[in-house]
Order: sequence, then structure tokens, then C-alpha cells
Amino acid sequence: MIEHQPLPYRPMSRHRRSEGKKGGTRRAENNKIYAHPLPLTFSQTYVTLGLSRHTVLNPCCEGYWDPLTRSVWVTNPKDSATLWQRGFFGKGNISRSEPSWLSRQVNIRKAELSGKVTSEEITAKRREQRKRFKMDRANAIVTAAAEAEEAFRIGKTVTNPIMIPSGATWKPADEAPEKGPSAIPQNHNKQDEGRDGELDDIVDVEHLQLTPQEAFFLIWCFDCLSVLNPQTAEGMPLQEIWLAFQTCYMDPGPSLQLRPDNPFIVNYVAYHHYRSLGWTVKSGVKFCVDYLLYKRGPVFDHAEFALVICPVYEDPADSDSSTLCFRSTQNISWSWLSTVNRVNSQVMKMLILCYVTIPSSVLVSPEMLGSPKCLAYYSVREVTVRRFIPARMRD
Amino acid sequence: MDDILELPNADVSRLQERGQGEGPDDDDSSADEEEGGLDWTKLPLGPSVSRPVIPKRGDKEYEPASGSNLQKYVLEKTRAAMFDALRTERTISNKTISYGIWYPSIARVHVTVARGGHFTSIGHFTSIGHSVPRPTPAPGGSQSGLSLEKVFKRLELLPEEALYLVERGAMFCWKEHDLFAENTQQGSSLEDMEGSPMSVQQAYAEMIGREDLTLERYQVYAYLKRLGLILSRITTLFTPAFNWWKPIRISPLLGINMNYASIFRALRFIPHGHGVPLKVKPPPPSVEESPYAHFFNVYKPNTPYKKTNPPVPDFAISVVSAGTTCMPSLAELTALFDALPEIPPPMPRVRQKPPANSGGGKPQGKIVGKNVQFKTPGAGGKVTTASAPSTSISWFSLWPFRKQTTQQPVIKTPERRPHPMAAIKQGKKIAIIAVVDAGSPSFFRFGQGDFSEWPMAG
Repeated sequence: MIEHQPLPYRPMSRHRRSEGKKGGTRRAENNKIYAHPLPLTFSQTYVTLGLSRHTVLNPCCEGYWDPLTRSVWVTNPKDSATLWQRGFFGKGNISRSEPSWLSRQVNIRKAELSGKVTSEEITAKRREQRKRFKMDRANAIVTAAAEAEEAFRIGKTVTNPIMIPSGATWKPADEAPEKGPSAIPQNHNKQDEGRDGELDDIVDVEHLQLTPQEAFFLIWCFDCLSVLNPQTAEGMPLQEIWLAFQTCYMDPGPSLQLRPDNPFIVNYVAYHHYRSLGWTVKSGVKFCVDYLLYKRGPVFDHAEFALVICPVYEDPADSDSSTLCFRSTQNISWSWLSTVNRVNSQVMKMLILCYVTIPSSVLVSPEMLGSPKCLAYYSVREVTVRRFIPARMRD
Repeated sequence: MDDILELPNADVSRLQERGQGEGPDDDDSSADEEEGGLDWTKLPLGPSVSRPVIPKRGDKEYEPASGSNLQKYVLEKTRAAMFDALRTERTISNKTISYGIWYPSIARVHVTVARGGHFTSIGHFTSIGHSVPRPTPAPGGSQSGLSLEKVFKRLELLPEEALYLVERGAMFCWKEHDLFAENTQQGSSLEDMEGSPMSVQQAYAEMIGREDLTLERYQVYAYLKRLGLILSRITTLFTPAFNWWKPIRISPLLGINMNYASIFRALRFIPHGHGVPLKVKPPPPSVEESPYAHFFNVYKPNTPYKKTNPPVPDFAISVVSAGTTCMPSLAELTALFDALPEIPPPMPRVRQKPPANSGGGKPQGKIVGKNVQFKTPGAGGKVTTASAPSTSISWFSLWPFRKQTTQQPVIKTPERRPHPMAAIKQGKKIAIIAVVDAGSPSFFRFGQGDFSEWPMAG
């Protein structure tokens, strides 16, 4: 397990320079850890007489398919780390992104023993202080308003207006709560001997979860992941995986006929396209969109683009017979577009509408849907959305 | 209002209260600020105004404070100031007012007397005397009525242009009477104007609805004109050997795809881009019939606009009503983009050249247009690489006292490539749709994106 600080998203603001040496070393570390954009690596071995042979190394990860959660679970910690570090695939199920639950627990125990504070505690303290500052400021505003009101009633103007505290200059009123953490080690010193052993007893209960799109990308294109059937623990062949990923999105019933508008295929088309251009594609549910596009990865910078997938049926008969309810098959309202655009521009991301055309089911029969060959009949188009402000366009 | 006050002015300093130094990325987040109001107490009143300054906004109150007399007082004061400012009589000097006649049959206003700076960008000349019979005044005032042989040029306005001028008070408009049509003379003075004068309400009633001018389109037109912009109307992929069960082949033996860049390139087999034929049924409507058809060409205020030969427009705008029309579908967007020209990707800004004798031309900042390298005279310190050979030559030469007086700057211009993020964000074609929701327009810019042209890897 690589020993490094878990990354709790200390987001570096885009306009703030990195904090000197600390920022520089972290970036250099990240560049080393996340050097490979894909799970495969290349190595060069010298065979004889200066001739070198290139080989490609396949990490051969394993995961279990879980149809209930529609995800592939990777329980082996080494495989989890590999898949995350080489391409940012997947998400830890009890972490914010990278599976870091174990190292966080170890950190917490160590911090309790040695008296230091974990980064989560630092964040919590900072938030508490900010809350107190806001209360102080609100009180000052109320007092100032009352003063102005009183002065108006008398008929004079306020001579010495009370100062409203600003974030830069405010200091906390009392220092008592800060003595808290330092009091803890005295209690725990007695139990040190028993506690040391606890560090080894923590069982990692976390696993890495891959969406069907991520899993299929890894299996199909690089063959670096094998998916095991949860009941039989046997590897599933590629065709079975392709069909299983589609059927998990369909309502159970007697007539399980594959349709070209299956959400798995539609999402996979977009996912594959942007991955092929070198973007790191992650879930965008935090910002009301489908996907977020990162230039290198979440640890390096914030996402530049927020992607909304708008499926378009080539044959209107398909949309009538569809039991699914895609957003863009009905008429999209301007208020929805305004809302999503507003949310994303607040977080400095550009909204992209990704139109995926769905071929007609006459053209692509259920037999053709049994193989990835049907992907040639879909297409991807992007439209960028921005607000246009005429007053700023004058020059 | 005095026409001089509202000449289109690209002076950016007047936008100061809206925030200085904000980059284009802040467009969306600070969009609220420009919709605020003026501070009416600071607006000077009366006809003696020469040039009012747009005042700063005051503090914003967030909620009614019950029982606060101060707040009530301030509110009353500002409200009264607003009404007073609006109540002043607006005047226009009779030397700067124009006159026009509205002809309902052709839905145009013929400007008989054109004064003021508006007409550099408003109105068009039509020659009379060809196919469209227009009542032409024959010189000498003949009684014959329609004369189709003479060719006159006269200034005509579209309904929205005329309505804009009337609403501003820069033009008096008359409605022509059929009875007196034959008797009107070209260049007639005020007394000879035959027809009934039109009020603003009548102008609205007559002109909205003619010539495809809806109320929403007029509102967008007036809004942009007031901002100073100039507006005018318009106008297989895969090789047979592709294995769909194993799409990527990585073979160390054959040397295929042995680095990340080529792997990413090999992954790009999903059909993409706006060039892929769109097979959506029904076929995309022709752009003229769809409600998203372009309606206005927009030019920035600084462009040298010639009515007879207008330059390429900066933007093309369509106008829709929020309540009745939804967002355009892919077919409609495709039709819209097909009618637009492509826009080159944005080049990085060119930095100022450093002055001639500064020592050591190190490039400043990340985006530099020209990389200028200089040699310092006689300092002996910073000698750049380009001039190193000449110093060595002079060292060996028999002229030890020759000073290197020649300071030829070695200008290396690195090729200015557009930044990929900026290029993707701009897109290849830009369509602007104005959505009018009960009178207030919001503008959305739809760009035809091309991520495939700017890959992040490979």
C-alpha cells in the first residue's frame, strides 16, 4: 500500500498560486503516482546486443459483477489502487473518490495516540470558526442597522458607525475550545499498549466500484479486468458481460428484447468517445449533469466541462414505443437549460450538450445488439452552451 | 432626450460600476449585476442636462424591515427620484428631429427628412421605379399619379427601425392617406406633409406584426440598439478488418500501439462530429421555416458599417418566445449551424514588446506573441545565445577594441497556436438565441463543439 496522505480534496483555487514548496512537491508526487493514463504499462527490456524488446504489462485486475447496484466491485486493494491510479477509474464506496477509508481510519487512530490532528479535524475546526465569524458579522450588521434607525428617529446621522468585521481581519473571541485536542493524549496514554495492536486489527471493508461503462471500457479495449459471476465466481466471457450490462437496465419481464436505446449503450458511446480523446470522465451527479470531463484527473485540477447526454432517436417510432423516459425526447424547456447552466457556471464549468443519435431499431436488430459492432451506428455531437451578454460584447 | 447623449459609445469606462477587470469567464456568474437599476437620486433633471453620468448603485436591501422608518424613508426618496426623473419632459431640438411617412401597403417608413447620427446604421435606400409600384412624386407635381419610369432613391426604414426611432422621440411619423398620395412631393416641408400624425401607441399597433416583426423580436432589437450594437436583418469508418470483439490490438511484436498516444488514437472509432450525416427522421427543417431562423445580424459598435456594403456580421441572432417555443432539437440546431460560417479558433493575446534597450529579453508570462532577444551593449554580462558566436569571433579577431555596437535584435516568433481549452470553449460556429420571457431577453450562445480537433492525448 503506498504511503501517502489521503486526498480529501483540498481544492486549489484557480487564481491562487500554489503554496510555494508544499504545492510544488505535492504536484511532483502526483505526477509520479498518476503518471500512467491507462492501466496498461510499457516496459523495455534489453534482450541481446543492445536490441530492446518492448513489452506491455497487464495488471489483470478482478472484479465481481453486482446486478443490484449495477456495478463491478473490485475488492482486492492492489487492484483498486492500480485502477484508480492509472486513469482514475471507479470510486471507493465509503470514500469521496479514491478508496481511502483504511488509511483514514489508521490516521485517526494514530492522531489520537500522538496528539496530532487529522486533516478532517482541521477542516472541521476551520468550518466552526467560519460559522462563528458569520454570526459575529450578522450581529454587527443588526447593531449597525439599529443605530442608524435610532439616529434617523432623532434626526441626526450616525457619527461613528460600528465596524462590520471582514473575513480577513476577524479573530476568534475566545481561545478556550482549542485546548480540547491537547487534553486527549493524557487519557489515552494509559491505554497505549492495548491500542497499538488495534492498528493491525482494522479490516478494510471498502471496495472500489466501477460503473458498467468504466468496466466495459477496461475489459473490451485493454482486457485488463476480468469480471466474475458473483454466484459461481467464474469469469464471465465478453459477450455475456455485454449482454448482462444491457439487461440490468431493462425491466424484468418475459420478453427481454434488446433495444438500441438501452441506457448502457447510449452512455457508453459518450464515455468511450471522450476517453478516446484523452479526457478523464467521471460522474457528474454533483452538478446536475451526466459526466464531468477532467483534463488529467481530479487530483490535478477541477473539471473543465460538464456533460449532459441528450439522446436523439433517428426514428420517431422508436421514441413512441420506448418505455424509457429520456429528457431530450420530450421538449426541453429553457428554464431547465438556464438552471443547469447557472449551476455549472457558478463552479466554473462549461456546459456541453452531448447529442447521441440512436439508430432505428429497424436498422439495428436485436441480434446486432448482441455484439459491440452496433456501436458503429451511433454518433456523438457536441454543442457548447454559454450565456451571451451583449453589454460585454461591445468591444 | 438629446440625441448626443445616447450616441453609441464603446467607452468601456462607463461600465465601471459593473465590476472591473472581469475576464470573459465571469460572464455567467456576474450576469445579475447588469440588470440592476440606476441610482435615480443622482440623475440630474431638467433640460439643462449636457451629459449625465451613470451613477453607482447603492447598497442593496434584502427584505422589508418591519418598523424601520429609515428604510421606508430611503425607499420613498428613491422612488420619488425615479418618478421625477421619468416625469421630466423630454425634448429634442427641432434641428435634429427627422420626419417620416408610414406606408402600410409596403410596411415601410419613407424618411423625408433625415437628421441625426442614427441613419449611418439604420435604414436602406431603395430605388423607386422598377417592379414595385410606389407612389412617386414626379418633379413638377404632375397629377398623373404613379410614374414607373423615373428612378429615385429614397431612404426607407423597416418597421422595427422606424418604431425604435419613434419610441426614442427622434422621428415624427405620419401615416399616409391614400387620398393625398398623388399630391405628395419629394422633399416636401412640414406644411405639405399629408397624412395623419401617428402617436407611439399607433406606431406600435401598426408596425408590430408586419414584415415578420413580433413583439419579442422588437424588444430584442430595441435592447441591443440601446446598448449601441448595430443590427440588420438577414438571411464510414471502420476498415473491414475491424474486429468488433477486440477493437484495440496491442502487439509488442509488430510494434502496434506501443505507447499511450497511439492507444488513444486507436480508441477513436465512435462516429463523431457534426460532419457525420444526420439521419433523423423527419429530415431537419430548412432553416427559413423553423422558428429558430436567424433574424438579425449584429455588429459591434466599433465596426465601420456601410449600409451599401455591410461587413461580415459579428453575430447572428434568432429570437424566440420562452413560453411558446422550447429548446431547439438537434435537427434544428444542425440546420442553424449549417447556415453559419466557421470561426477561426481564438489566438492568444499578443504581449507588448519590451523597449529597445532593455537588457535580457526573457519572455514574460505564459502567452507571449514575440520572443525578443537583445544584447546588452558592452556590459559583458547577459549575452544571449544568438550572439555568442559573434563575440567569440571578435575575440579571435585582431580588433580587440572594437565594441559590439550593433544591437540587432534577434526576433524569434514562436508559432502562435491557439490554446486548446479556449478553442474548444469557443467552438467552430456560434449561434445566438435570444429567449424573450415576458419582455426580458436572455441570450444563449450555442457553439458547435469539436472536441475531436483538440484531443488531450494523442
